[in-house]
Amino acid sequence: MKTLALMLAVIMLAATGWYYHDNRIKPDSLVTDEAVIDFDDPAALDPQQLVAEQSAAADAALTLAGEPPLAGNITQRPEFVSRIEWQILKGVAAARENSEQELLRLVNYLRFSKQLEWWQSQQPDQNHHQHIRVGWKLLNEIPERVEQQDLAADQAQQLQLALLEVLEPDAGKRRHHLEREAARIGVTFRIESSSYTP
Amino acid sequence: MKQLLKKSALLCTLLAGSGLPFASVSAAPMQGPQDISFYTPPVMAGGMQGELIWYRPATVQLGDGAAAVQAWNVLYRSTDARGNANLVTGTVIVPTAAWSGGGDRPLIGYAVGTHGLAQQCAPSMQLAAGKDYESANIAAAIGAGYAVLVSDNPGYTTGATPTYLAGRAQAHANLDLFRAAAQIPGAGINGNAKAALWGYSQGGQTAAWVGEIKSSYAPELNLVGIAAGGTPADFPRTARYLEASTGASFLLGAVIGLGEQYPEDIPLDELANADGQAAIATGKSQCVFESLFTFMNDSISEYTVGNQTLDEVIAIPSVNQTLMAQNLGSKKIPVPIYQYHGKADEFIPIDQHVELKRDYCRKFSNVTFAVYPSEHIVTQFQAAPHVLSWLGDRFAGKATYGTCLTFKPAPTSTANPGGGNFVVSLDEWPLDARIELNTLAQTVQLPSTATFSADTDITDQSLTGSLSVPGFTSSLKIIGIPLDIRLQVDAVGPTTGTVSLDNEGQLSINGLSRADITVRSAGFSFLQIPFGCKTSSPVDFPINFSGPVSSLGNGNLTFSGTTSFPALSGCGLFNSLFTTLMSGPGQQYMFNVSPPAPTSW
Repeated sequence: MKTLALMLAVIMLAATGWYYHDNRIKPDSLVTDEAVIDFDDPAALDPQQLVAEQSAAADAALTLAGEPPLAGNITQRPEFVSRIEWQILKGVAAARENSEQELLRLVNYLRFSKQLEWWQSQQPDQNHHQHIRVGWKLLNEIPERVEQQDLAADQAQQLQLALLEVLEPDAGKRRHHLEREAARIGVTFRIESSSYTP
Repeated sequence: MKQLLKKSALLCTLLAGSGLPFASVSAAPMQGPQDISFYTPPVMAGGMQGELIWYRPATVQLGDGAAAVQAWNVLYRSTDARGNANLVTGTVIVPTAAWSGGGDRPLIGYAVGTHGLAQQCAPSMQLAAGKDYESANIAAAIGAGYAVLVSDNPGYTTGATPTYLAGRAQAHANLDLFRAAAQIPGAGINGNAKAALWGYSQGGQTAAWVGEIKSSYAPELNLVGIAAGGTPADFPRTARYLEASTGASFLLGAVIGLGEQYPEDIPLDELANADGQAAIATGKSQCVFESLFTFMNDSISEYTVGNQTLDEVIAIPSVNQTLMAQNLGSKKIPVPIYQYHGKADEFIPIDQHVELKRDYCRKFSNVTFAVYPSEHIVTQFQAAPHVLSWLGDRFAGKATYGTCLTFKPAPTSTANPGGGNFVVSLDEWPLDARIELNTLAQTVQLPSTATFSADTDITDQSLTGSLSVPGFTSSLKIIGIPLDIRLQVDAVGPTTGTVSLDNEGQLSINGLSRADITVRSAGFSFLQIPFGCKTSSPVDFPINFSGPVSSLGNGNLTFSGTTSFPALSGCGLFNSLFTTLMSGPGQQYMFNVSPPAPTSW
C-alpha cells in the first residue's frame, strides 16, 4: 500500500513537473468568456473598457515572463492578448494558409513585444529583480524570434547587445556572452581582445 | 553633281510610277560573308542608290522581353553629302509575328544617335552583340509591329571613317536603306508600304534632313511622318554649346566626321596640333560613352595649331561655310513632323531646336513640338512611347494639326551648367512605390504624388537625392475588421549612393534611402485614434540597379528588394500590436522612378 502511494505520489509529482515545464497552452492563462467586439458598430465600443483590457493584457504578459513561448494549437484567447488584439490577430492569421501556425507565431511575438516594451520602459533601478528576470527571458527567446522571422538577424543582434548592457555589468564577460548569443542566431564574429579570463 | 542627282531623282520618280521597286533593275543581291569581311565591300561597277549589294541573316539582341524578330545585315549603295557614291551597312529587323494592322507592314527608318567612330561601334555590330544603347527604342518599335530599318550611316565599312554629322549623307543612307530592304529575299518588306523616320540627336538631325530632301532624293518613298528629337539644327550654336562642356566629345566627333566628308574645307592636318592629332586618333578608336568621358570638358583650343579658339576656327571661311551647310530649316517638311527636346538637355541646346520649329512653321510645315522635362539621354528614351503613338496615328491616316499655332511661351533651357561634372538631375520625378507588408500580407501603395529627386553625378560617381511622400491612407484588409490607417513616410537624411555609366552604356546604381514610417492614426469607420507612432529607427531601403542607360527614361528604373522594419514606438497601448503586425524582416518593396510627362509647345 505504501509502495502504491509512493508510486502515485511520484507520478503526480512528475505530472506536476511536466505540467509546469510544458509550454503548451495552460488553461488558467486562457480566457473563455469571449464577447466579440463589433467593429461595424464603433459607437458601441467603450474606450475606457478597451484601455483597461489593454492594460490587463500587458500585465498578464509580464507575469508570464520566464515561461517559454507557447506551442500547439491556440483556440482560445490567452489572457495577455486583449480582446481587440485577439480579433485582429485571428483575422490576420486566417488570411494565411497555415493559419494555426501563424496565429501561434503572432501570439508569441505579441507577448515578446509586450515584455520587451515593458523592459525598455523601465529604468534599471526600477523593479530591479523583475527587470533582470524579464531581460534574461527576452535574451533567451531571441533565437526563437529570429527563427520565426519576427526579428532580422541584425535587429536581433542589436537587441542582444542592449539587453546584455544591462544584464552583464562586466565588459569582458559581456563581450564573450555577446559572442555566444550571436552564435545562437547564426551570427559569428571574433573578439579581437578581451580582459576576461574564464 | 547636281545634274546627276537630278537625273537620279527623275529616274526614281519614273521607277516609282511604274510600281517597280527602285533598285529592281539591278542584279540580284547576293548573300554576303558571315564574318567581318561582310564590311569589306566588293569592288563593283557603278549602280543605283539603294541597290542592295549583299545581305546576310543576322541575329540582333534587343534586350529582355523584346518581340521575336528576323533580321538581316545589308550592304547597299548610297551617296555621300557631296554626291559621291558610297557603300553603307545597316540592319533590317522584321517582327516574326504577322502584321495585324491594315495594309502592308509599316516601315520605320530608325536614324541612330551618336555611336562612336570606331568600326566596332557600328549599330549593326552593337545590335548583334546586344550592346546597342538604343535597342530599347528599336525594341519598342518592333513591339508595335513595325519593321525597323537601321542604317549604320556612312563610314563603318572596313578602312573607312564615319562622316559623322554630315547631315545630307546620313539622310541619303537612311533613305536608301528603304530601297535596299525591299530587295532582301524573303524579308517581306514592301517598298511601297507606309514609312516613317525616327531619330534622336544625330538621328534627329538625320530625320530632319530626310524631311528636307525626301522629295528630291526619294520621291517614291511613301513617307507619312517624321519624328526628330534632340536635333542639332544650328551647327555654330551647337558647337559653342558643346565647347569645353560635358558633351565636348560630340564636338570633336563632328570635327572629325565633317573633316572626313569635307577634307578640303576642314583640313584637319593643318588645323590640329600634336595633341589634336592624338585626340583625333583616339576619337576614331572609341565608341560613344568612352569618348564622352575621355574628352569631357575639353576645349577645341587645346587641339588646334596656335591654340585657336572655337570662334576663331568657326570664322575660317571654309569651315564656316561647311558648318552652315549642315544647318536645317531651309525647306518645308512635306509630311507631319514631331519635334521634341529635353528642357534640361546639356548636349544639344533647346533654343536652336525651338528656332527650327519656327523655321518649319514659317514654311507651313505640319509641326508638333513636344517639350520633355529632362536632359539629353533621359529624353531619348522617355520619348519612345509618345513618338510611337504619334507615328502610329500617322500610319493610321489620322490627321494632325500640329502645334505651330500656340500661345504658350517658348521653352527655355533648365540644363545644368556646361563644363564641370556630368550630372543627370532627377527633378521631382514621380515615384511609383509599394511595400508588401510581410505579416499582414498586404500592399501599401504610396500616393501618386510621391516624388524622388536626385543628382546623379556620373563624373564623381555619386548619387544624392531625396524622397517626398505626402501622408496617405491605406486600408488594411483584416478578416472581419475594416481597419483604416493613415500612414506617412518621411525620408531620413538624403538618399546617397554611387552611380556609374560604363563604356557600353550600362548604368549601375548602389545606394540607400532611409525613411521613418509613421502611423498617424488608426481606426474603424469614423472612429479614428490618433497615434503618431512610428518605426523606432529608420527603415533602410537599398536602391540598387544595374541595366541599360535607357532605363533612366523609359520607365524601367526600378529599385526593389527586401528589407526589415524595426519595432514601432509611440503607439500607446497598441504599440506591441503594431510591432507584431508591422515589424520584422521580409518586407518587400518596389520603387520605380520615371520622368514627369512632356508638354506640347
